[in-house]
Order: sequence, then structure tokens, then C-alpha cells
Amino acid sequence: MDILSQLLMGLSVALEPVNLFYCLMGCLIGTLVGVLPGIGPTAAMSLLLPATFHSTPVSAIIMLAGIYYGAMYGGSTTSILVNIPGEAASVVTCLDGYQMARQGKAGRALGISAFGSFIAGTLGLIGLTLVAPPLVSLALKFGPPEYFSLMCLGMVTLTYLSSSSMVRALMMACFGAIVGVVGTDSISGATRFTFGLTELMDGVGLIPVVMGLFGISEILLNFEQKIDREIFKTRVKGLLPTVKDWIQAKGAIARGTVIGFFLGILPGGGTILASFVSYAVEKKFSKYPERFGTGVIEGVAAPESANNSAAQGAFIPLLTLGIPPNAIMAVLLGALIIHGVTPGPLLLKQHPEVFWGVIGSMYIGNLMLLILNLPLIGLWVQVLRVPYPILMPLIILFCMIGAYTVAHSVVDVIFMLIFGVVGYLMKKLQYDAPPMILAFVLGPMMEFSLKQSLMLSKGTFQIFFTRPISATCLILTLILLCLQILPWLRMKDLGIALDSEEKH
Amino acid sequence: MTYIIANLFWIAFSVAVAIESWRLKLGTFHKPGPGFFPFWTAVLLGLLSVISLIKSLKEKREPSPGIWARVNFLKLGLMLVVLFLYAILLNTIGFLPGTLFLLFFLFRATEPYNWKKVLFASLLTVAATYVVFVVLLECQLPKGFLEF
Repeated sequence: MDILSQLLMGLSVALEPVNLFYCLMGCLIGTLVGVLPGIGPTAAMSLLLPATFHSTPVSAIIMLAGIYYGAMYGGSTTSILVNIPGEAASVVTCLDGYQMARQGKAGRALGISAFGSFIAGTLGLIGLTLVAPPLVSLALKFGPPEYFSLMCLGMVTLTYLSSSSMVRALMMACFGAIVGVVGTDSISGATRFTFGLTELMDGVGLIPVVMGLFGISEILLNFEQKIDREIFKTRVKGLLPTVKDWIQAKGAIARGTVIGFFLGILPGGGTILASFVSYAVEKKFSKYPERFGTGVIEGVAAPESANNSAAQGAFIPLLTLGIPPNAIMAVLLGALIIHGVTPGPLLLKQHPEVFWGVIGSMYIGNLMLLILNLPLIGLWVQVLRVPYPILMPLIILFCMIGAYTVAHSVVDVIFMLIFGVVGYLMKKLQYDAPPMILAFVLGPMMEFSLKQSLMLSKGTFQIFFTRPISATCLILTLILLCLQILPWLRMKDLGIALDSEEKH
Repeated sequence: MTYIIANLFWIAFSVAVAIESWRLKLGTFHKPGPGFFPFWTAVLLGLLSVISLIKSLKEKREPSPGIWARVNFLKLGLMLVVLFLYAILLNTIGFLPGTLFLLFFLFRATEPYNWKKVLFASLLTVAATYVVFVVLLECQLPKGFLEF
């Protein structure tokens, strides 16, 4: 009952006109970003982060969260109609979605995708509502060793699931951690790697790094190739799935929801992993696996449900432990810190309006997205027709403005461009960006936890193994590292990709 | 060869970071100094880079030759030069004139549209951006020496 009263409080916060507006903006922009290939939710969130400086923390996070789960809805539209995923979590939807469109069933595919996303998103939210508060009590038992170990586990899990080799992913994590410590050391006050630049005293900003790595680098990559978008010409009609569609898809939606929710919570997991795993599970347990890829409705319902459910589940470790499970949540963490709110076990106590307001807004946002995605399909199709050579300069301009307005400094713009080049080279040489971003955000926190732990233990590492939660996390970390030498156990063969901040 | 160069770069980078971290003082395990965390992270990066280098040499693995084949280095380089110049000169020139030149270049660079259409589109975009960011969102964008 206490949870219910808190949720009602959160809904009352979410229903304030200004928060409804921010929620709608987030959902609209998220859907737009999901529809358009070439810019993903991470880049969009980074771009719009400066625009939230005038708003309250709860309004800012409501909008940014709306962009995230809105993009999950929007990504399916372009996957089904154009066979190009709008964002990476919708890659799998192309397999059967586009085939359904070719068979004249585009409307039913879009419909089941939207309804499946709504059902999974809502159930995921209920899970978030029920799981998060008890987890906060557990999180209060976390001390510096537990935080350090859990962050190590998150980092290693993310690198284990990397599409490139684990060694290279760990290299990127190390690189990210090093970039993250640039600036003033919080304990000793010494400046590190600032090269005399006063602009670096506070470190390299999150926004220039993320916008550069994901926004500018994507532009540079697309600059060298022509993106041909042949939009399915037939008028999309009949958006409501038939009764037979519901009977066929109900199991896929249910399984996708559960798989997505738990994979979303997992450090290193995310929406892409959830969509791939749910598709693979659906195909494995289907009575007709050979028909997957030819236009079966379960092939659309499962991944779309999973990615939306994962999007909700990912908020759990962020809000309760203050640890982002993936790179997109890392950006949200940065946003919360910029607004003076530190997520973690004390968030519920110190800022219940933020905690429950965000959860309340997600219920409303899910409903908004169902309403936006179905009737406005025609509009999204028109958006897809905007030539990329026109979109690209606009995206660059927004990136430039976004980076400048962080601190009214051209140094941030220059850093964004530098990281744009870095991100471009990383993509070319197949180094994954997500581990880098996660380590960039977590690195300072890991350093702080490590130092505190060593001070507590008077310099020994025993403390990490004598405390049960910390020991469990470190043992799991070591197991994952050891599994690296057994490549046949790796999930690379399922074609799993990370929450690619390449398309986020 | 590409991966070998990349791995050598990472080895050099990790050595540089380790040296600088050493200079910052590592402290002790009981009382870690400011250089402690970056030093050991750099050591780990260096070790991983060596492993990756050995793997590259052993497997003779290279990125697909096509990754550089389609790149128009001149066009890409020119775009980067323009973007960096825009950033460096933004405060001097000001947002409005600087952005107008930038957009004109970008619209022409991506597709060879008619220059009149490009100029019109650039002016329209600059005006719309000004209204949205400066008037509505009250962002402070540089005025430059022309004071507008």
C-alpha cells in the first residue's frame, strides 16, 4: 500500500502541466529519433541536455527518459517500412517486420509492435515499481567495496557481451576511465592531465564526449556513404492486429517482456541484448522456427516487447544503486548529477518526487507513445522521406549549439569534434564505444570507491572478498573473465550487439 | 598493418599516461595518491594492448580493406577543417555569420544543390535556430565582432 501511495504521489507530479509537456516532448523527440537512422537516443539526449538546464531535475529526467523509451517505439517504424533500423535495438525487427510489410501486412506489424511495446513497457514499469523500493533497502547495505565490485562486474559484463573482442572492449573501458579522471582529483585536489587548461579543471564534459562519439562520428561515417532509403510505397492501413495475430503473438509478448526486464536490469545488458535474446528464444521454442525471417508476427512482437521492457528495467540499477547498467543510463546519470541530484539509495529518501515522478511519468509516457505511434504513422513516414543530405547539416548544427551552450565555451565544441574523430576511427577499427562511455562515467566513481575501500582496509584487498556482496560480484567478474578463453560459450554467435551508442 | 599501428598507439598512450601518473605520485595502498588509479589503469591498458598486438600478429587479422576504400579523404578532411575553424572562430565571427557560412558549406558539401537554394535554406535555418535557441530557450550564443 505504501508503494501505491508513493506511486500516486509520483503520478500527481507527472500530471503537472509542465511535466506533461516535457513528457510529450521527450516522447515525440524520442519517436522521431527512433524513426530517423543516423541519430540515436544517446545523441538526442546529449543534444537536449543543455535545453533542460532551465527546468527542474524531475522535468529534465522525465523528458530525457521519454526520449529513451520513445526511441524504442520509433525504431520499429523504420525497421518495418524501410528495412533500416532506426536504432540498434530494432535491428532484429527488420528480419520479420519488413517481410510482413512486403506481404501487405505493414499495418498489422506496426500495430502489434506498438501494442506489444505498450504492454511490455507497462508490465516493465510495474516490475520497476515493485522491485525498486525493496532494492533500495538492500542498496543501503552497499559500502565502497560493494560499489567498486558491482561497477567492475557491470564493466566486465558489458565488455563480455561486446561485439568486438573482449580484450579490445576492455581496452576501451580503460581508455574511458583515463579520460574520466582528467581534471581535479576529488580527494587530493591535484589536477590531472589538464595540460594547463583551466577548462579541463572540472574534467572533460560528458556532453561533448557523448555527442562527439555518437553524433559527430555517425555523421562522419554517413558522410562517406549514401544511405538509400526505399520507403515501402503501399499506403499503410489496417493498424489493428487481428484476433489471430493476438493469439499468435501473446506468448511472444509475454516472454519478451520477462526476458527484456531482467536483461535490462543486468549491468552490461540493455535493449539490444534483450531484443536479440528474445528473438533467439522465440525462434528456438517455436513450432515453426524455419518460418522466422519470412514474416511471422512473433518475430516482430518478441523483440519489440523485449526492448521496451528492457528500457524500463534499466532504470532500476540507476535509480536504486546509482549505477547505470549501460551507456544510455550513464548519460542519464550525468544529467541527474548536473541537476544536483545524486541517484542511489538516498534518492528515494531525499528526492522522492524525482524517483516517483519519473516512474509516474513513464506510465503516462507509454500511453502517449501508443497514441503517437499509431495514428501518426503517416507523419513518421513523411519524416523518413527528408533527404539525409538535408538532415545531416542540421544535426551537426544542433550538436555544435548543444556543446557550446554547456558552459558557453568553444573548448567544449572543440572537444566534441575531437571525440567525433576518435569515435569515427573507433567505428572504422571496430572498437566499441559503449564500454568507453560507461567507464568514462563510472571511472571517477570506481576510483573514489576503490580509494575509500583501501583506506578502510588499511591498504589490503581483503575487504573486497570478506564482504559477501562484494565477493559475489568479484567472483562473477572473474568467471566472466575466465569464460573469455572459452569462445564457444560466448554469445557473439547469436549476433548480439551492445547497446550501441552508435545508434543511440 | 592497421591494427598493428592501432595497438602500438595504445601501447604508447598507456606508457605516456603511466609516466604522467607516476609524476602525480602513486601514494601507498593505504593512502592512494592522485596518480594511483590512472597509473594502474594505464598499466592494464598497456598489457591489453600488448595482448591485442600479439593476437593481431598471430592471426594476421586486418580490418576489411573496404573500410578505407570508399572514404573521400579530401572531402572528409575539408569538412573537419571547416568544423574546427567554425569552433575556433565562433567567438570572433559570431554565431549568425559563422553558422550561415557553415551551413552553406555543409549543404553544398553533402549534395551539389543549386547555390541559390542552398543560400536560402541556410538563411532560413539560421533564422529558425536563432528564434528557437536565442529567443525561446534564451541561450546565449556569441555575437562576435559584428555585435549581432
